[in-house]
Amino acid sequence: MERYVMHMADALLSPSVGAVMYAAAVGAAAYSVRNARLDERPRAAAMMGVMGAFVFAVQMLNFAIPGTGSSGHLCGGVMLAALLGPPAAFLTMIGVLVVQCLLFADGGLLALGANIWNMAFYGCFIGGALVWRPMMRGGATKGRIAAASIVGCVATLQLGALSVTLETLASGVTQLPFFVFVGAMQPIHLAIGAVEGVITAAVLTFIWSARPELLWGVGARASGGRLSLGATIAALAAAALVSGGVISHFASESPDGLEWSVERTAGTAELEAEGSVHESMERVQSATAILPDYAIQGDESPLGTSVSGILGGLAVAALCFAVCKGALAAARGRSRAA
Amino acid sequence: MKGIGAAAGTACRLDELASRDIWINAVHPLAKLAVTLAYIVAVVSFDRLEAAPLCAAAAYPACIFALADLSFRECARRLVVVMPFVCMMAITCPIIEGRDGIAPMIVLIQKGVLAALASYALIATTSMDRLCSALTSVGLPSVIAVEVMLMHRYLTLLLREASRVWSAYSLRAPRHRGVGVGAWGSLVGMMLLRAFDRAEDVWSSMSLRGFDGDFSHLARVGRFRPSDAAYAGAWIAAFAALRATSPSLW
Repeated sequence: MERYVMHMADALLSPSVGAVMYAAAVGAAAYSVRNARLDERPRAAAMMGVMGAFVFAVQMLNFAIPGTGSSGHLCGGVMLAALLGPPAAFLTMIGVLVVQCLLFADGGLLALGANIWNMAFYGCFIGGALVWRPMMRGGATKGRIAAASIVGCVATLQLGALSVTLETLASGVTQLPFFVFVGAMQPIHLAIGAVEGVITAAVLTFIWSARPELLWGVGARASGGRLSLGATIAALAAAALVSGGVISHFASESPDGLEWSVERTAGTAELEAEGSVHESMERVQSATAILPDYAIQGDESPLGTSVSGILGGLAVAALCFAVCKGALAAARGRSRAA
Repeated sequence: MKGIGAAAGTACRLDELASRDIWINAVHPLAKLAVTLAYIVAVVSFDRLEAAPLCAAAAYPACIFALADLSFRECARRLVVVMPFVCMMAITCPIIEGRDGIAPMIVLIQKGVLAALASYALIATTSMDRLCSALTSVGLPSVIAVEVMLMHRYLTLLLREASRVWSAYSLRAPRHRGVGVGAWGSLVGMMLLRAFDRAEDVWSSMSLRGFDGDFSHLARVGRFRPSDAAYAGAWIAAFAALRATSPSLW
């Protein structure tokens, strides 16, 4: 079933959506080529080629689902990521999808970018880097392998199915309402993802017991490129100053989405509120607002916008810091009392 | 599990078709790829009510099938794979829009069939090796090209291995519809370990024979000749003209 539903055909995509998905897939492929560390692993190309052929062959096997009388298939993205690492697995899945597209008409040529994104990107990067690796950081056990496989497969198939829905609707090929389409796609892929997750878990558990050194990311501690807390705060502060002090000049004069909707409905973006409660709240707001409309009171200059952006950023940071400190102090107090 | 044998047969059959000594197979792969992409873009960009111009668009695959002596019957098997989801989406048109949805349904099915025919025409006249080699010359990273080529080469081998494994399993468990839950891990796991070892052997063999990542000598693509440019230009101009007849552009 997954072969039919997840592989998008050309007819379901408009050229513009197809081009956007190609661009996204090419970006992810360029990142993978840079980060697959192919120079350090010269046999990687051979490994990826043979593993791609293996995934293709295994996709042909039917797996009997107990108690249902039906059977499921393996897609392979999460399994490959758990064996080769996300970048190499992504490149391998590209090969699988190219061969499926050209030799077996599984998915169209224009839709190849969308299929790479929907099946390879989510399976390898979300399933591998965001689910498998963090769950394996403390070492592998049967339970962890099973949990990572099932969570990874279910999450990535849900994301893939959602992407198929959004891409089809954005292409304008159907008038199907969004919630009806999503309501049909997501539950199907929940079941498919769960079955794939169990098959993946069975295979990876076997590999772990036979040749554990083949599993990627098991017991790997975070190191190297991770930023310290101080460096992270400094980077965020710099980004806030730049966006508040510089980028705020380029903020659009046009109404935002909510204002636009209100303007279309009511004829004006500024709704007049009536009543004594509204009037008194308005008086309090005008007395306390030191930066009305993102500018210093009485100063409409660009410098005023910059200063108000920086002051606003600092005020939000101070408030967040105070709230976090307060929450930590309260938690410590509770643990001492206990 | 007839699918495994059929898949191996399809891969071999397409290799045979693409290796024939006919002039359309000798056209530069990049020219054929550009024409195929231009055709698919032209077809899918038609409005959802324009069924008539799409009938004229069938002329391109019809020409290529005639020139390359390709069988529509063989190609029809591929449509069985690609069409179910397209048909599912097409059927929603009349369900939601009533009688107004019949034309969009027909157009969607037309688009699906025509795009699949064009892709088949490309791969049945261009071998995977030549296509990968040509794409490398325009910037496809060689690691992807080598991977796709190796995958294509070992696909038949691994499909046959999967077929043997399935035959052996089904002889031991004759009433099972698929691989039983108790054998999921060990059956696929053993295949996986063999694939890993095979990849090591493949790399060692290639290295001993002097392989350094450059495979351009394996697939002789040749230069992009003026006749290739004329072939691509003529077809793309024809698609542009067809697209210009669309009432939605007037």
